[in-house]
Amino acid sequence: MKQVLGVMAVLAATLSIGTGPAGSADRVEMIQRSFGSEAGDENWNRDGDLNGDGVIDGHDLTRAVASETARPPLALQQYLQDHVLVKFADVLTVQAAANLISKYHTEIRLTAGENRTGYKRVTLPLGESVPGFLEKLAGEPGVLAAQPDYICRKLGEPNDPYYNLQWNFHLIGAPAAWDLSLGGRRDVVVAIVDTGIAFENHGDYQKAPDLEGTRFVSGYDFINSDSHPNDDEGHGTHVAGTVAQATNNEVGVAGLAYRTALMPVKVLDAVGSGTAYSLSEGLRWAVDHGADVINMSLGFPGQVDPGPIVRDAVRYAHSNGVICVAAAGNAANDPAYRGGIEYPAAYEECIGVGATQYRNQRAYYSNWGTKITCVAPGGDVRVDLNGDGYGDGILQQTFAGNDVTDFGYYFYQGTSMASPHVAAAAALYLSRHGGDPQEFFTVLVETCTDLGPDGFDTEYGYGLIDLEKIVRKGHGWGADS
Amino acid sequence: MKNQKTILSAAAMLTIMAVLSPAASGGVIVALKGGYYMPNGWADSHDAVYGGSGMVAFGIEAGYTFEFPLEIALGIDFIPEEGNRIWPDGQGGWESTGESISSDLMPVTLVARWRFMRERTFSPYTGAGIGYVQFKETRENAKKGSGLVLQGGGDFYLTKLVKLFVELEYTSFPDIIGDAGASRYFGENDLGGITTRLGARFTF
Repeated sequence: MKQVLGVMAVLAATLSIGTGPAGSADRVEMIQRSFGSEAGDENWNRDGDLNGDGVIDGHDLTRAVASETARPPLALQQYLQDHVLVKFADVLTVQAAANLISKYHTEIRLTAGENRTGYKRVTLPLGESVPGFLEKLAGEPGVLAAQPDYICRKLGEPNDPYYNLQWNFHLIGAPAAWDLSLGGRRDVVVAIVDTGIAFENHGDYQKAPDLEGTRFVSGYDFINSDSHPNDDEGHGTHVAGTVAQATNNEVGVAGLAYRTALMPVKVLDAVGSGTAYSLSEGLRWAVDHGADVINMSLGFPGQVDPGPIVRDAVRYAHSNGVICVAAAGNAANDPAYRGGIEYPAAYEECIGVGATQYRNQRAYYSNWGTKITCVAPGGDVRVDLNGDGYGDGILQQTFAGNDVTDFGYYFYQGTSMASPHVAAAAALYLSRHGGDPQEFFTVLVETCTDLGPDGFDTEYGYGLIDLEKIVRKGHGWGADS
Repeated sequence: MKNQKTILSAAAMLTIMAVLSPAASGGVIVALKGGYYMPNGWADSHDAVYGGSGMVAFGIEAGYTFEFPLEIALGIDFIPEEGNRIWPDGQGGWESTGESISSDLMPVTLVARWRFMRERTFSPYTGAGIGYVQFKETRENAKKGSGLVLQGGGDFYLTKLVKLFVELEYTSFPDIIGDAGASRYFGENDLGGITTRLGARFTF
């Protein structure tokens, strides 16, 4: 692992299939910062990752979890499973405690120093559950009160050092959504149908350091026809990071649905081009191999309908309950552009995502049209409206140029960057509520923050996505609304 | 349709009672009223979204006094309220979203009152009738429906033509809400409540 990682800002355009280049890459600014060594990273993996999710996070706050029986991960527990809190009647404390120890073959943990609460931690007898033990304690003389030792967790902001540069997450209510969703469920799978992902150490390829801890399921490379869909362009790794970059790992940046699993499906080559055939194959493969959400940060330039092969693949995904999300396209700044969004985003079964900048206005490049569903932050690296010293792009880790091991943190812009925000929202929604594409679509459009003219419009669709409201499954309630 | 039939039937009955009453001896009444409305059939929904036990109500009334002891009155109340939308906490409770919401509750009542004592310093009465209510929350379509009204109160004569009154009113407006939001969550469908009010009646 490189000890020095660069933070750079680059301008990138949405990839096009079958035609033009991947977009320019103008370096705007670079700083360098030092990170911990590889050995250091291994230490936190070994010592800090108590729940085994590859992340040291709020769910790993305490080590006081007994592990002798199969239990849900700490992140899913409401209270500790190895002891309960008991308050004894003052005059009976010693005797009641002694009786308890004798009767249940348990032990009472003593806290050093003064015990201000009056409660003592009583270890759970072998084979006993917390609710069961509490029920028994309720009938014990001398026991005034007994309760589980509930787990509290830190709320809100991840500890990833560059998180403060991820303005895009704040704009869509990510911190509040995390408080509710804990980054999603591990069995929800988001397929990144793109240039691949730097997800493994294989041959000349390396895993992106900040994807350590991110969960991956098997993917496929439809360009090279093998099962190693590594990224040789950089785009897919950046897109994947927005969805599920390792978060709360004190490294780099955060991802939105950081506990969900990623499925790398490579349908674009080293210059970001693919075909209707490769895309369709990739879509169907993802559906058949368990994807719940498919992100397509790609499009066919000029609003060319790629024909039934792609349309049927998208419909296949939709009819199998897979949520399809796609970028609207980045042609709006082209003098020849007359409106409309690109396929596959334009398909009815797809959620077409446009891009906004820091001030929630349509990004200058973002395609618009009647088939756009909503918008999400896609950035504008030409300006620094938030005053953080960098162009207002979307920050994630990837590599630039031909060196697939030269990882850095890059500000990208484009509807390619906006689309994974919505894919992550879908993953968080599915994690909490389950459901199908139609159900998610209904909640998505109902909860969007309306931008532009009232209601649906061709620039913003139904508006800017709101992760908190999506995770909560809608607006708050009135008495009858 | 059922509500409309109920209203028409009750209105017809009150009209017949008025026509069959002895010759008028009182005349036209106009009243100004204000009070406090406490939701009864949607108390939990109201408490969650709008907070507190009730809301201020104000309104007007027009009526006609027939030969003792009958009187009819048509009244309208305006009950505006502001609160915050809520999210369920998944355990039967709720938490505020901080997103403001407002509502207007507007019951219209037509009641027949029966007085117990001829005009003296104090004249108690009881009344019954029908009501029609409209409930509108921000950006939502108004919900409408009819129901039952029961009243009890008394007039304090300041002069022969001016009276102060206190009144307790019970209303029930079932099957109007409950399809969405907090009322669905709490299983409440009745917009009725209990209103305590004060006012002044003027006889012309």
